[in-house]
Amino acid sequence: MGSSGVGRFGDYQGGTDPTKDLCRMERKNVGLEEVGRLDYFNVHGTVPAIMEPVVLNNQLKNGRLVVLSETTGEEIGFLPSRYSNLLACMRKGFNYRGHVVYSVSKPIPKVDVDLNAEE
Amino acid sequence: MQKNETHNRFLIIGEVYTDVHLDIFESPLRLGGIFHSARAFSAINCNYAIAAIAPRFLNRSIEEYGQLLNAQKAVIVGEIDGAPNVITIQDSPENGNQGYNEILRDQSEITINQQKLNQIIKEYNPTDILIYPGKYNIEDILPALENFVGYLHIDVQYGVESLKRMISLGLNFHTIILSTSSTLFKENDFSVINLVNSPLIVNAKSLLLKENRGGSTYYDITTRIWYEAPAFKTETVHSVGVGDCFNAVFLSQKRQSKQEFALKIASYIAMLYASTLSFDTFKDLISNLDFNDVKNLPAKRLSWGERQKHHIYIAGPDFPDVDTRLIEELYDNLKYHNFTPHRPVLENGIITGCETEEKQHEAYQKDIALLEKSSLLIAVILNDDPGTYVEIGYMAKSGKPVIIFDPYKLVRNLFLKKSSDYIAHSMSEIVDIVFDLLGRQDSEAFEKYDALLLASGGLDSTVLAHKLLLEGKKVMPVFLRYGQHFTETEFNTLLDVLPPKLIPNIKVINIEDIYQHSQSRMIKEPDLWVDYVTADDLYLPYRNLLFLSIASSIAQTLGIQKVYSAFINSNHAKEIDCSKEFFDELSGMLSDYGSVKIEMPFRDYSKADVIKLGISLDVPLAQTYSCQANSTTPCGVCPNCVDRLDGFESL
Repeated sequence: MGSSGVGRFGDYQGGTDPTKDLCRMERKNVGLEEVGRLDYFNVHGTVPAIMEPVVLNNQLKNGRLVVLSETTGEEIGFLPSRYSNLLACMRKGFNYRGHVVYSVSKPIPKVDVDLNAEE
Repeated sequence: MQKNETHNRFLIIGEVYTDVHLDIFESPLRLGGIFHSARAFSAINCNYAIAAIAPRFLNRSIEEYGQLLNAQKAVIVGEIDGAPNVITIQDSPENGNQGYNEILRDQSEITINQQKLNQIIKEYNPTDILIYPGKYNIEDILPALENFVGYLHIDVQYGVESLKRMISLGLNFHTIILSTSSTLFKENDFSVINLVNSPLIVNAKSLLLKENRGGSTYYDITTRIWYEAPAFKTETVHSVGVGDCFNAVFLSQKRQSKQEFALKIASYIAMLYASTLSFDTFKDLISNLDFNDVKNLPAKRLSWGERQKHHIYIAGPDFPDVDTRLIEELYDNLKYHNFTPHRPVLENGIITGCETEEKQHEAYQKDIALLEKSSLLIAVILNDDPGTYVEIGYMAKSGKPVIIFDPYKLVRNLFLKKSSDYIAHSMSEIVDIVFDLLGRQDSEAFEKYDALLLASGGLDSTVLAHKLLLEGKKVMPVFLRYGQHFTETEFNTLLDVLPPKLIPNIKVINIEDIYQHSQSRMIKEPDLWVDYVTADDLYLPYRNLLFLSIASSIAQTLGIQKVYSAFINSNHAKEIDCSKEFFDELSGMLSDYGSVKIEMPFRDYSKADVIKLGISLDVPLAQTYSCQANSTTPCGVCPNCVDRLDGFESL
């Protein structure tokens, strides 16, 4: 009967990483913040439609990560603070694109997006 | 990457372990102990060296990986015999107690090579020494520290006894570091105040308390100044060594950044460390990061002490015939993080339907009271339990957050999905979400409000408050106490009629002295049976000029762009500073000489228009209070009352 085991310390230089890569993970149903006060809503008086393509802006706005409409370039909403880790991923070279999966204008403007990583 | 620009040289002294993650399939074996800080120093390009205490079989790995991690020196200063220094970890993400088990711990015998320790201190000449106490005899390293004149830091997470001995021998530390799960914190009744008054701490220069996923606190004992920083969230893969990573980044940054920023940068780097088991991935994530960007990123703060005030209602089939181990685990994990969870069935009794009506009603009322006092509800979906669904609906309707914990992916129903704020499938997600929902947004990170509203509890400003909230604006209502005899009525009304979301944002400004000698019937309450009151008797000089100036000053100070006033062009108001022309000129002047813009969206409305809008917005118009002459009951004859009544009449 044989045995198996871990051969070496393994978190350096090509070692295995069994965890899902932080940057490549799809972010689903991300509820954007402050939709009612950003450009898209202010210009159009409404929220972007479902399936509208979106992109995470590489530039921060007032220190925050902001999602833009890929069609108009206008700011739709901020990423909630729990996605602040994406800053490190963007600086590493990842971009994040996706689309609107849910949106309503009333009673409070609300937009949810899915975001996928692109290297 | 942002280079570490200081000339600090850190020496880390402590044991090296082998970390084995039992709960992560095919996890890599990692060097643990002081190597966690080493990874952080390496990733941020900080000068450092290692003085390692380890079993002999690790010597080659320590040298090899020390080089890979750019340690300027990696020296073995102590040998562990009789035990492998292997730690098994059962709960890597630290949803609750991590379940550390150090194999054969009690058999270990440790010999410190004082000559080698002396030599590395002499040769490397560190500016800072970071000590991780452990199983070794702390007295054995003291001779080497006798002549050290730099900064001495100690992490006492697992070394309270060592700290006590070192303090008793007269050693003073620049930084004493611990976390909320440490013995020292427990010995001080989990109280930060007790901790800073502890005889162990008073002679140190500073204290760093890491509060897990809720942020961190740094106390400068010399200046008695507290600094605190929020925590960044991630998909937590592990929490092992994350605190050691935090130590390294904070200590290296605190002399080149403000303390709170050093804490925040440390929090961000530690978050990245917790998101992967791979050093290469960790280093890659930091390599192009500009720390200045991190300073302004929003994050959440939830201090250890604050957490206890949050009651959390655990809904679920918590019955004897159901496997409730997940509910128990959730309860224990929330307790571990110092929240106040409740299992209503255990607390208020199980109702089978055979009890008297009175007993059933009592249990129901107790559960309702518990729901009312809870900050959020976590529903554990183990089966199709109707009670759980009703509790979800009750909490959702009350506007408080609802998390559904759906470990078996049973949730399909639309109402269940839409009544909850989050649906989580793992314990780790739940703990992260609880911190996220209950944490306070880091206030420095962004402009918090975009509208300042002069609010009085009157009809017009109340309708405007509801309108602005509906438009998605972040509103700060400002209530002015200017000596009006109806202050309390106005303020209590304000609390009743404002949208509940705005209540915590109310700012009260006291300017009572300004009109203290005024004879105006807004200051001196008339007896309406005796006194004849005209519109002129209500006049207060420059009242609106004063109000708008104060509001604009607050707004510009806080970076709020717009001041809203619910002024309408009344036919009855006779004050000179209550005309449309006056407001036009004033708002032009305020925006010309500052950044604030005055908005009066009702300036062309009639009272009836405002009332119609209020009805369409479901504003509690009947509860508003606008009278200027009587402090308890609307007089019906002052200009405000006349406007209000005419408006209602015209519908």
